[in-house]
Amino acid sequence: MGFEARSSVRTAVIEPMSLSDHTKPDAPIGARLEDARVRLLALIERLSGLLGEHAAPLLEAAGRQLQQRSCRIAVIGQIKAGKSTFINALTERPGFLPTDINPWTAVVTALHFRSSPMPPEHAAVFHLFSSEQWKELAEGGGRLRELTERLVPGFQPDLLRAQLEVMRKRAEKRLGAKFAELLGQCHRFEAVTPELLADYVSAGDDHASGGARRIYSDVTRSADLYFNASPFAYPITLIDTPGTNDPFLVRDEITRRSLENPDIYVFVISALQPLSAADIYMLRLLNGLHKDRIVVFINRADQLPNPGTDAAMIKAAVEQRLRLEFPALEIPVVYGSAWLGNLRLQSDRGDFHASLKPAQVKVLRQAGLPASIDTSSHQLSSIDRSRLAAAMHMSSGMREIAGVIARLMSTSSIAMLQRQIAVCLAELARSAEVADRAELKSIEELIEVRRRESASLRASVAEEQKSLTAFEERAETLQASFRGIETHFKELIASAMQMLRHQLSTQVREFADEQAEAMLDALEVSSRHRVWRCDVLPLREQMERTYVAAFEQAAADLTRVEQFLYPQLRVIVASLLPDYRGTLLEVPAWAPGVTPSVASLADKVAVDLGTPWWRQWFAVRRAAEERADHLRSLIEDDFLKIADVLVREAEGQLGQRVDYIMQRVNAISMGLRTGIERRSANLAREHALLDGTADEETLMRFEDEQGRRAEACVRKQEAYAAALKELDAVLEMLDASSGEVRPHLQ
Amino acid sequence: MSADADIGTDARSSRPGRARIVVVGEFNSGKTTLVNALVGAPVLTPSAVARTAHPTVVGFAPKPSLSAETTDRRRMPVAWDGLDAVAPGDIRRLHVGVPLERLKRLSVVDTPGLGLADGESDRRSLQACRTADAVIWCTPAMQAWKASEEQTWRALPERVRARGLLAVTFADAIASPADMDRLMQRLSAEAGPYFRRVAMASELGSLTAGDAAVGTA
Repeated sequence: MGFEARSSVRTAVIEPMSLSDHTKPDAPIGARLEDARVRLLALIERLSGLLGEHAAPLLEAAGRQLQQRSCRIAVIGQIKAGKSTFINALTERPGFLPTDINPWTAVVTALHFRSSPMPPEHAAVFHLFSSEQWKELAEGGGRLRELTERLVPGFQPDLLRAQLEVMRKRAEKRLGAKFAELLGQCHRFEAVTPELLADYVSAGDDHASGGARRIYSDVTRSADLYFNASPFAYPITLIDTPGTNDPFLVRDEITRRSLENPDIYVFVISALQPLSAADIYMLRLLNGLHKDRIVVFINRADQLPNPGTDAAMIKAAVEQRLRLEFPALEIPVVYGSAWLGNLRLQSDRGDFHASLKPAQVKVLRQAGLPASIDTSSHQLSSIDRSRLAAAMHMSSGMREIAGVIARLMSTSSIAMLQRQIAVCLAELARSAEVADRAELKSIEELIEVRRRESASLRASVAEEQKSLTAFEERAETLQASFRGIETHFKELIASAMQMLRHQLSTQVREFADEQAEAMLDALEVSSRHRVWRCDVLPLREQMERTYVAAFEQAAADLTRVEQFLYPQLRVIVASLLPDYRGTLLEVPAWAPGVTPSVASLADKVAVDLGTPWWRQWFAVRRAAEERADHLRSLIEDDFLKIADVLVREAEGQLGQRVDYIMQRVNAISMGLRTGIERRSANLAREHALLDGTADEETLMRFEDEQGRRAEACVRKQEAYAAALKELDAVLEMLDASSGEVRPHLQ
Repeated sequence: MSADADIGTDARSSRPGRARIVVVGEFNSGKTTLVNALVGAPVLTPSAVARTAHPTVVGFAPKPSLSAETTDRRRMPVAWDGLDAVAPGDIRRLHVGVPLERLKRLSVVDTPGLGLADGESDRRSLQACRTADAVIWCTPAMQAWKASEEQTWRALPERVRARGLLAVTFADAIASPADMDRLMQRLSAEAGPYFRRVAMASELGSLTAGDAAVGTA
């Protein structure tokens, strides 16, 4: 209601904080993960010197993953929500990504941050469309064209056609004769300049001054920018997207494709129009398997008429709406202004605060800016400027969102990967220690026998050899049974996926039938009412639920079979070392909760096209039954394809898990086996030595040899113990930082 | 632009002597502010969260009045703070009467914001456009003309769109006049074909009843 008489309760949202609170520097984003990463890499180095060759592939793979895995943060939202400005503030590079009154970003741009003493090979790499891709997009309209074509054959939507025409003509005009040869190229540069970004990344806007420069952006497929100096502790890749709800349909399509596989989504919305139907729609698509991966940033608070007083109302309204739409989720909401976040980074300029409006100054006062600092003064002292910058940082929301991102990172799949690697290293170390201890025990026994009664030494050695052979046979049988279990795993996945495929396609067909029926009914009731629309979101949601449930079931089945494997390995350990009390193979190989991507569910399908297309569809004269059949096949064609992609994705993920489980049991059993083999070989040599001449000298040599081996065993055990201690510390740290997430999420 | 004498010449108008302007747009797109500008007085209070729940007709009355029109077309007077007594489902629209000379020739309708995922409310807002002499679609300068706006607007019948004006609101948030020029150029190119005219909301404040009627000519 909008009457003067109806006033609303208004409270200030920003609690005053003492300046000392926010002048204290925060730990950079990802500090703990980086600490864990560095320590794990050092441990891999140490263990690869200790463990035998059998562990090398596993250690190498783990090292590679730790080296390569960056945290991917996608910044998404509608056009002009302030995504590029947000990235500039977060990466502390004001003005780096250009912003503009009109949608500016035309290309999905990945910014790679990695602190390394080595400069990156290239600062910027731009991939241009291949000629096939360009042809498909610019001449055919890509997937969009394909969809509209299927919806209304022979009808090319004038809008899309006009837009493509503009795009093609512009690209040809700008690029001239060399146009054709440019396609498929990859351009690399040693430095990033604003001109370069304008050339490759900016949306074509010839109205802009210097518009003539924007030459490659129409034909650029993706941009990668590399930075050596990073404001983050952990390697981070930020993904800037052109934004959804773009009337330029081709860009809208590009954005949707970039939503795959990030670790964290920062969903930027404008405080001026917080959480529209388009925003909710996008969140629904994301929400599926990325439940804890989203943070909402309400941007542009600086543009509100009353930034201080409107904040609480808007934030509460957004939170309430999110609770209503997603009752099971706790999506963190941060309120602020990326503009202010950029401004505070320019405090080296004496008049950096000149553009502040009185209402904004009021908010800064609430954020702890002392009344003694006069913001209307043109020149502030450097101390006052830094206090002003601190208050700006506070009320820009950038500090808060950095905290949320850091917390989300500590429960991300990266933290899980690190945890997994730590557990795996610990198991390798423990199993090697078991083999080692067993060796030490047998050496000590032999030395004992030799001391008591040298004559029976030969018999003892023979006995030891015999029992080791028995172990080897046992280990051999065990490994054979592992191979059987691997086959069982694969059968299990195959039948689960067959079932899933069946379930999904049944859902698609039933939904298509229902929709066709519903449309026929609607047309019967009112043939005049021709803007009937088919909403496929319920189908998307249903497929997602089925998919997640089936995946989790299959994963649980794998874990159950996995639990059969480990007791057999423990039996081997127990027979080597009856008194072994260490923990081994107690957790499943794969941390629960890691689920595959449902990005394909967000694919645009024919029936997603807007009302004008539907109108056109209804305008084509057709018998009711024929129309129903067409609708049915539109839905079935698109969604059966999506179901197929989903099943393949799940299959791949489950296959990876099985590979990992097998790698793990094989590494451990191989570790024990090679330990035993080594011992057997030594004993065989010593047995030969003892054979025949059991003179005192030979016996002495034997004892020396055993003594040296025992010493080596003790040294190795100490090294293993130290590595295990360090691994425990890493695990504890990873657990602690993931544990602190929940209570903070409100 | 012609004088007030043109008012009511449109045969479609069921309100002889009074032209009706309907203001629509997505939520928080500056509709209420524009309505006040068109009326010439701050009759309605804009809000940072979407609050306009019913189409609200601002028209002439000898003294300030507020009444609710129910779904069965009955009108009942409402106290300024007594709206809660009427079940929201029963209200078709609200009528605000203001003793302003200008409103003898012109009524202005504020509508609930579109795009809040409430299909019913969207339908009512769009319904209000059908009987208008002029329809003004508000788009905020900072995030102007999104695909969702374009789709909703283009789904309206041609005859409604023929009376449409695209108003760019919150223009004061754009500091640079050059930026504003470029925005207007983009809108003329992208949205222009679907409207009679594209203008800044500030230019429309002085729009008279006559101008609204011209929009229908």
